[in-house]
Amino acid sequence: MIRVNLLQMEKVMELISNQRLQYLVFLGLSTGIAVLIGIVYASNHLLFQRFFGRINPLVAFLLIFFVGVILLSFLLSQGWFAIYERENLKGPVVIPVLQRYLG
Amino acid sequence: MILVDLKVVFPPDINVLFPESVLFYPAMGFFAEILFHVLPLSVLLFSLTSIFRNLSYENIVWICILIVALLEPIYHTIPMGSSNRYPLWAIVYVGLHVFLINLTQLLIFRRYDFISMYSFRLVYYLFWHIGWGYLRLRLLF
Repeated sequence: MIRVNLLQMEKVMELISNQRLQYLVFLGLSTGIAVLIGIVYASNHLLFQRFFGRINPLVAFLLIFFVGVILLSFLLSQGWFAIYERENLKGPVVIPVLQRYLG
Repeated sequence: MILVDLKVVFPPDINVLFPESVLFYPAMGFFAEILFHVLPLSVLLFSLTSIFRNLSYENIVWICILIVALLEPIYHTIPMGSSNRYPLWAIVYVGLHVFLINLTQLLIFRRYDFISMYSFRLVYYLFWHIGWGYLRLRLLF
């Protein structure tokens, strides 16, 4: 049992080190979102009540963040979906279309 | 959606007021992406690929995307329907509209990545919740 868990842990660590940029981007985005939630909550704590009830929105965010990391890691490990791919920044739609018509 | 709002007039409190909306909606968009897209998509993909081993992955992904794209429209239209405040055509339109937005997002996720999918929602929120959310309170109320 312990050996299986260690093997799974090793796989997760390997995934994180292979896909370091994707995790860093998600961490960066999440940090930004946490800051936004903190500012809004400090200025008007009732705003989130409609969605989260009495739960502190920062606690709800932390939960969602961990769920997001786990599930995106699963999708990433299967090669099904990505968190962030640098080549998309170069213009996923516009550049191939321009290349086709202009060059 | 703006035309529907002009015709049936949604309640004044459907949007968070400006300027808080500029900070609030990017945060809520993140929650929406995880809860409406990443979570159900992962669970469905995991379940269906385990159950239907003879089906190709491409077919399973399409089935999952179509099912997941229905979740947010259902979430929005059930309260609309039960309130007895809106005509049926408005409920159907909102449902279809939100479904198409969700479907587009999931296709973006499939083709590109999570960040592109989230960016799409941000742009949509910028127009609907932030821009129109600010204007509608001056025009409709």
